[in-house]
Amino acid sequence: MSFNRNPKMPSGVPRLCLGLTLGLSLAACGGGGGGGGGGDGGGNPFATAEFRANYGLGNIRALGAYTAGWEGTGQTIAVIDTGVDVDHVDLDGKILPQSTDIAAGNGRTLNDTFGHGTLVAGVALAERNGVGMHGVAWGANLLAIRADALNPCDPFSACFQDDDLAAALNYARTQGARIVNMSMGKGGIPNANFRNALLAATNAGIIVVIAAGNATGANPEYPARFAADPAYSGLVIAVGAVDDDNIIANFSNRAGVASTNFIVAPGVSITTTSNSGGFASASGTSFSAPHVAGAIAVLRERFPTATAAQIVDMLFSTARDLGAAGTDTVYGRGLLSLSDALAPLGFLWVPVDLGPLVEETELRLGAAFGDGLTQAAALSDVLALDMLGRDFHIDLRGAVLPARDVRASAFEGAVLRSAERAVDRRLGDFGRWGLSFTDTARLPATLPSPDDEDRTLRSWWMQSGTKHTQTGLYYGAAAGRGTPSVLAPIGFASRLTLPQFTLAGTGSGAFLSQDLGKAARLSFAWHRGDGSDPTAATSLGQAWLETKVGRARLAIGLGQVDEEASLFRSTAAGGFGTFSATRSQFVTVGGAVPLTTGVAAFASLTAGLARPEMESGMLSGWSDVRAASYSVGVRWQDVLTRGDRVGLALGQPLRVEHAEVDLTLPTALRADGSVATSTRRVDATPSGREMNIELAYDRVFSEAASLATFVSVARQPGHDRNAAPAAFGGIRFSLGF
Amino acid sequence: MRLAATALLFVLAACASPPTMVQVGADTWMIAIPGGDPTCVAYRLQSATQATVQSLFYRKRDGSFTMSRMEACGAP
Repeated sequence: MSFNRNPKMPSGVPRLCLGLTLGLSLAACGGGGGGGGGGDGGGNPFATAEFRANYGLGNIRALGAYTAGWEGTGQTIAVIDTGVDVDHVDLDGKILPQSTDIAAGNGRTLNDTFGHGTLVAGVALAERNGVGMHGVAWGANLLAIRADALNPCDPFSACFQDDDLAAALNYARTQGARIVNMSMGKGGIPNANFRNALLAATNAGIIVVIAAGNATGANPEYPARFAADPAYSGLVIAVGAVDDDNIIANFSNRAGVASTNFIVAPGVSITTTSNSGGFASASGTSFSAPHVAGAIAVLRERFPTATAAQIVDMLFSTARDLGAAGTDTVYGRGLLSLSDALAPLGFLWVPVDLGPLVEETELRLGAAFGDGLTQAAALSDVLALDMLGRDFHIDLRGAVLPARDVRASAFEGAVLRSAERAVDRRLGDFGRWGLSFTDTARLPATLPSPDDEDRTLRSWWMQSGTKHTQTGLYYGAAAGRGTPSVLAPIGFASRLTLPQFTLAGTGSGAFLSQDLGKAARLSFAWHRGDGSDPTAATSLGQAWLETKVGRARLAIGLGQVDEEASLFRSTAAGGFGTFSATRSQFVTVGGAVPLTTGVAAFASLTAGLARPEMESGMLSGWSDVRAASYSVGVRWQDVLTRGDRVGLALGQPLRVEHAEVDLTLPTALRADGSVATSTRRVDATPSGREMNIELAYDRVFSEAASLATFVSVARQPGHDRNAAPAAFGGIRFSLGF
Repeated sequence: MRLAATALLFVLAACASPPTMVQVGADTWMIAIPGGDPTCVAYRLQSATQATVQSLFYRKRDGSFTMSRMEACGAP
């Protein structure tokens, strides 16, 4: 039952009609948004006292890395320094046996008597064990290379000769280290031996992180100043210090000439491991550098196929801008931000065919598909790449959008109010023509179309028809923007009886109907879409034969729908590919039989078939898609007064009953940069089955006034088994004057 | 040249109060970092020829230096 225009020819005197339609949705509120949880300190298991002991971890946004499961496991950080406390509880389990004292001829052990190396190593990778603090990359291992010189730096073991540092770099390289931390500096340029060793390290793809210095200078000290030298391939990173407010420390050397390879990290009052076996607070760019070294270890774990240059690019591209906008001579690239470095950079794209963007990848389902494919488990883990070519795994189930407007399709517009102005004229022997303008305001809550800013629809239609009483031929044409009324002359026309009509949008068409004697009529209707709705059919054709058999009226119909780039109003884009032109056929059988005076029962069944194909994308190999719709009901006449009607119907709107498709998804990025894929056949049918019960009443008061109203309850609306039942109804009053 | 430079540094240090430069080794000095807390002056270690650790130091009552501000000034 519907509010379509009366399919019969308008009769009587020409009239101007004013109609008012009210409608509302009584849908039960289903489900609710889930609560959020987690976040820094908000129940995050990694936001512990041990984490908070060094505020630097929070300032560099390390928590997100741990939550995602990345902590530098399997990585090695070479710390060239004054040795390490080999017995410290936070370090003893991760000191590699290749650790050594590289300074020749002094018979010392690796043990850190001065204490600086232990402080530095702790910031980078102290173990997470519930004791004290933990480092940035608490899963990484330590290659401790002691290189301090006793003479002539008495009484401190806190100086380093260039040749010893060169030997240390060479040792780190030959031991396979990929990350080196050097928390030392000087005013003068290191000797050629050191420069050659540094060059060999960077040529081998080692990232060398060096403290910028504590001399308050406008440029980094050496060797950090080599960050400005392109000879080192951009793999030398100079690190300045900021305080807990992310302000450049007064002692820190600034970025200056090395700004493009300069980054800042916390370096004031950093709590870390001390060579007493406990923990201590210390300040200096010595302790900024290992924050960066630890972050690099985490990035290497997450992106094992990335080159050193790409790792550095990740750090710099995602650093939080401080000071003057952009790269500046104080903060360089800005503040290290580990979570941002781990997150996708720029756009994400799906590595299939031409590489469509993730944000353009969607499958919008037509009503007949309900929620099909929205929960396809295979879509929960799909490989996507960011603009750096890094692999991320995304859940694409949210890109499969169930049909909108489900209730609207049942309520033919879900209108709040509609003011219709119509003109209906008889043109002598040429028949009648009608022109109608309708302003309709939509219920915002009814239609989940947040992008619909204009909630007022204006529709119009024109229809002209004439009937030759002698030959019984009835023909006409229609055009408009609104419900395709050209199809109205077909008997039983409703979304349940002839569900293929719901695939048509606005456009124009023609109809032809010929009486075959007194008991039968053959009708044809053809509709051509105007292209305003990309999901609507480009054309629809329907043939319909009605005949009387005894007291019953039987009918059979054949319909064909052509869609240009959709399938039952489903569209695909981006990584899903696009639908090729699709033709579907429909067969309908139906009938009505009087039960008693004024009471008739009716029923109809429609079956549809389509053979879709896709152009490119992850969807391919569709099976035949079969769909069905049915309705049964009873109609009473003259219930309350002469001429009124009451109808009760039970039915199922068009539902895809069988559909399978191959899903070919990119799943992994191989070490050689190629993409692994997997294909599985999935069921695309909806999870539920919508059933509607409709009760309608209409009454004609006079030729100029009529009333129509209905209430409908839908179980599993949208063919979604988890959807709450929805109720909707409407009332329409037409007044002619 | 080195002796001359050393002598010059001593002269400069002697003229400052509190000391902005303290020689701690044959080739190493502690240089006060300006602009910090005047009640707990921070120093950096500098060598004429070698690289040095880039941590801050603080002077204890006995005149020696430590990397621990707590140890030198009684506050972190």
